[in-house]
Amino acid sequence: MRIIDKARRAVMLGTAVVIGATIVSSPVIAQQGPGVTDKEIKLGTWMPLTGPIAVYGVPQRAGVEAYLKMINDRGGLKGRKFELVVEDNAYNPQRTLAAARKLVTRDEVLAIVVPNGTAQSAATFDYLFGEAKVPLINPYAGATDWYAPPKPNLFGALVTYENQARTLGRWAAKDGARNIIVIHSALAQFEGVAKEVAPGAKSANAAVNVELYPTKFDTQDYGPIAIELARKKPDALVFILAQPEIVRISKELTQQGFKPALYTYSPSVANSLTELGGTAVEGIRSASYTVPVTSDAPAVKEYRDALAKYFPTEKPDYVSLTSFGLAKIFVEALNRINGPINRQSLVAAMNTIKNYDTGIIPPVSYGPDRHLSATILQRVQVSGGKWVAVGTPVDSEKDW
Amino acid sequence: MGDLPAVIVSGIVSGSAYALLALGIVIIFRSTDTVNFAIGDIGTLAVFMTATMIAAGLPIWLGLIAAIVIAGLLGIITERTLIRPLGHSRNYVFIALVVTIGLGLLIHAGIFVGWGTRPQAFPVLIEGTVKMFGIALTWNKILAAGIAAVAMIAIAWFFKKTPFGIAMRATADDPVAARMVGIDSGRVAAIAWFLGCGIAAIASFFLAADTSLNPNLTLSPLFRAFAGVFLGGLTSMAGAVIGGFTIGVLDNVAGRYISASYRDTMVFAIIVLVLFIRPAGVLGAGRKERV
Repeated sequence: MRIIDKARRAVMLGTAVVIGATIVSSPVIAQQGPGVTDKEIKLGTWMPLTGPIAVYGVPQRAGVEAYLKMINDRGGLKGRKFELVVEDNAYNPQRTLAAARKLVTRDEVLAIVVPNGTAQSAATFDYLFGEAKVPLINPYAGATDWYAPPKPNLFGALVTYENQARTLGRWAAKDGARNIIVIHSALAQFEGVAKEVAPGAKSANAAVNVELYPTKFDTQDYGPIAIELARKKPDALVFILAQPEIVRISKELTQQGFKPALYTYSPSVANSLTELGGTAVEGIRSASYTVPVTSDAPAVKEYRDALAKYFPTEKPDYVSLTSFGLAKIFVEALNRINGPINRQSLVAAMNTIKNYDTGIIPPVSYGPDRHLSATILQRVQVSGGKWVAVGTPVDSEKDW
Repeated sequence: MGDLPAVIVSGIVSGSAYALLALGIVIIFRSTDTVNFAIGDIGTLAVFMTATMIAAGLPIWLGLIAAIVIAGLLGIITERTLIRPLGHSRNYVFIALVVTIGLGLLIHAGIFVGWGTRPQAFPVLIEGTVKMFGIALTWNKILAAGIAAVAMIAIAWFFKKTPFGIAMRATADDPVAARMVGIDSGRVAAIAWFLGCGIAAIASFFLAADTSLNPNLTLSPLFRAFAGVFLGGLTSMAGAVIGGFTIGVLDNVAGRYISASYRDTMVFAIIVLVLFIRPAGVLGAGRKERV
């Protein structure tokens, strides 16, 4: 029996030694944390690539991927190449939650980066931050309550839609509008934004009258609404709607021969609005996160070159430019990590970013108490079928 | 309520797309007992193909004819390859329904692959607007409404007065008996699918010109077209067209005077009420079966 035991022990020891030696000497890629190896950093995101909101998702994906492909072609980040797993959420909260679970459990991504959709992304928060403890960096979305108080794993770089609405209200009032109607989708995330137009307008002129006008999300026929608006004759209309709806209502208003001053918020600052809206959206004003896509700034030139190289069919667009800039920020954070790259070190590195200038969106700063970095907006307007800058950038939290 | 006539006229004009789609649905149903859920996607695919031709230099008027022919041929192919092999088993209606839903999803995905997901600008047949009851209406929509009305009259005449139309109705009622008296049921089905899908292409063509050409072009209108079909009666062509126009009017009236955010709710509440009183629809004939 003793001989058998000894033999068994020897076999087990030998097996352990072989396995141990294999692990130590093996050329297999060592895993540092979820989504990170010596060769690769795997990131995840969700965007509406199908459905009515695909007009945002498609260029947004191009912007993020163009930046990551450009970095990969330059040798990657500390020798690691980026892989971005993109899930189509079709602008649907349930699909977004399913996408989040898939990205975390099956794909084992390091973090979620530049996802799209306010209500859609919010639907994942309990899972992402409560159960999975996965960072979500720079969504193309946002609400004020996301960042007050700061959530440890959530960072944003875009001015909130509420602040944009206040800026639009103030702008309209400063332009002389006395009666403003805010047309908004009757969904909570749109309504919350629309309500902020009035405080902005009244900050410029307390006598301004602001009326909210809810409509069904993805309304197809704006005919009766345009008839009513033409009869009410407001000085300005502020659209807190999805872009296809802005095209529809603008065309109906033009058809009725009613052309008040039109305002909308940043998601509509895109080529597709002018391409589809034509003369109906000429003169529409908006707030942009970024400098113009036609800027000669080195960072914008770099963006145009990358887009032309990796997505030759995509024209330079505010949506892809913004997402290109957002990608630049989290790559900067990853670059700052000394030591193992994992979710904790990524969050710590994000908190070290101070006054970092992408050259595309205003400089960003984060810290443990500040996870939303931006308040500056560039006012823009459609002129001659193109978006052009109006004046200098304004601080959305101040009475500019 | 001073602008009620304007709102009604606007609703009739908007309802033309629903009426055309509804007519296409009923033609196919009456002739082959198939509820074609892919009809909107077939029309959309035809318009995407046509848009490529128009971009290459095809005149827009010819583009409309090309869209009708393409959609019609797609309809015939669908009937021959997917529907006819199902035969006429007991659960045929439900099986065919699921097949057309699946086909619609496939076409939708095919459009994504072929043309991408982003909306495209699409030209109108006739530029300009005309004032009626104090509101401006585009010639594009008025033309669509006119075509819907003419199509309804022409199709109704075809089915009631021509021997082939009567043969098509007979085939729908009893395909075996129709075959026994010498009616070529295959030919009847092919013509019905050609007509139904061709009419859907007309609706898609005008919808694209009105807003933009995108893969979801007929998603919402088809929903309303089905409402129009059930309101008017699944067996009545005139009922389906009138139902489509009625949905357009109800939608506009609810949106203008009740609530722009609950217009669908109002419209469908009225439809449920009507169907509660007349389950076969306003002009539909109830089906009686011997037990």
